[in-house]
Amino acid sequence: MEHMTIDELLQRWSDGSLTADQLRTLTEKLAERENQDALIESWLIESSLPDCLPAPSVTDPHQPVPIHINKQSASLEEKNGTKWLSLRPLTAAAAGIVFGMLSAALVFGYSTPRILQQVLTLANPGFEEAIAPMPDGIPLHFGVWSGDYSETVGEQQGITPHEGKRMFRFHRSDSRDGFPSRAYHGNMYQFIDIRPWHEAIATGTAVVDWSAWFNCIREQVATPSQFEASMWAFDGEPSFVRKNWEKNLHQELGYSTWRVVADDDPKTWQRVTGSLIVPPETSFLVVELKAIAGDETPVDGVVTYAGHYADDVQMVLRTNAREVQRAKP
Amino acid sequence: MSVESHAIQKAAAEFIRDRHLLGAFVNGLLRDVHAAEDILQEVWTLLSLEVNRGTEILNQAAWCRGVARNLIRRHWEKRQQTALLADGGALENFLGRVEQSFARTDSQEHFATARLAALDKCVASLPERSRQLLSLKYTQRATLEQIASETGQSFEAVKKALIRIRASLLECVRHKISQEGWNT
Repeated sequence: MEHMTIDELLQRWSDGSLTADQLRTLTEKLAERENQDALIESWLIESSLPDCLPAPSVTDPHQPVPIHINKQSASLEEKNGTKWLSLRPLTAAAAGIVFGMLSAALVFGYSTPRILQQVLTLANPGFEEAIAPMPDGIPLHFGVWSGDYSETVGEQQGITPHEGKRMFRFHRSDSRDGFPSRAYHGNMYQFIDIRPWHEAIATGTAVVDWSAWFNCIREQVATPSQFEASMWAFDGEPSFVRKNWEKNLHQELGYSTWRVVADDDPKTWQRVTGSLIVPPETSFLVVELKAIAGDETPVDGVVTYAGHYADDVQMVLRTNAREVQRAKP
Repeated sequence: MSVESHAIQKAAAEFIRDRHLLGAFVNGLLRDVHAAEDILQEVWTLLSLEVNRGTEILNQAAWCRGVARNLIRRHWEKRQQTALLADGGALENFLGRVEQSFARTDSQEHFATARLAALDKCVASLPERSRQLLSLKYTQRATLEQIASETGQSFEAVKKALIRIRASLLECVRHKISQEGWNT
């Protein structure tokens, strides 16, 4: 067999082209300390590179359906790797502790402060709790899902939840509040108070990475449904949002949004994800989930969704440790 | 503060301190960043449960690697990655060696931080075009095909360029480590 260096063997392992013989050679080489270091260095670089690189550009050419971005809203990216310690319900009790410790350790313990990440707490992010989303349109308070008529369901129509045992189902495109302009879309919202993080966002460089998963039954239609998720930043009181959208005031501080076309495969969930640079004046964020029917014809001005689902909504606040330190009085 | 919360805080602090190396261990073996994230989550979940149960874990880094290794094995089996599992003995030996390699870092306090500091500097010294390529691959998670289409290069050219950039980063990190006397 040709002679290969440890780096060449590791490269082959990394791209999946290592043969069984080469795996044995690599294993033998790992008996030597310098090769052990080579392996760890190589893997450490691979897994840490995202932290060392500049933030991605404002638009991502790789997403299927680009949507406009407004004001200070930020990069949209197929960003799948930063839910680090975005703990699931099982570990939620420890999450606060973990992130408290994360901040301390990173700010004071390392010579090169790195990105801090803080999970922003959403109420019922995976729709596991038996609390039905409110059909009251745009919410007026923090910590509740409210929007158009919907429900939380278990496995249904061959679709299993993306995580946990339950998922969100868009039911109809109207709500009790009768807000007209979104009549043909199914919308669901939640407001998140981020005033407790005002120090972390004070520099204007903090970023919220958000994501949600969507799925749909097989549709035999010419125009498939689409799913959209958005993140909005506002200052002031939650009650202002309804007025802002009803009267098209465009007073949001920033937003980021992304959309996918349903892939007509109930076995696969589609991730919609993006990032929003959080303007320093932000006092709360709004997450919006949206189903846009394809060929469905509204009956009496209302679209009924045959099987459109969402699940596992996540938000992570990223801040630069050094800048947070500087921002503190 | 209760005994439990003190223990979980201590475990969390240690987990966070060691996260780069554990992340490298899991991601390096799996070669799938999404699966690696899931497994890191799972390791933390199991660790916190164990700590809450009152179990005393003497070497947390080693404990986490052991759990991660089992989860990785289970992941491979579940995915029926037969190419990897065909020679179970060889794979098991490799896993053992990898675990042994990482175990050496347990006693080297600055192993990861020194290399990450060096990596920061090395990335900063790359030409802009190289950084853009890395950013597309590692931050935006674009596939090689997507990068090729975006940059107007062929698939092979992108693949080679990324291998070359990675190799130069590795070389740069090693050089800085040896220059600054961290390689002990």
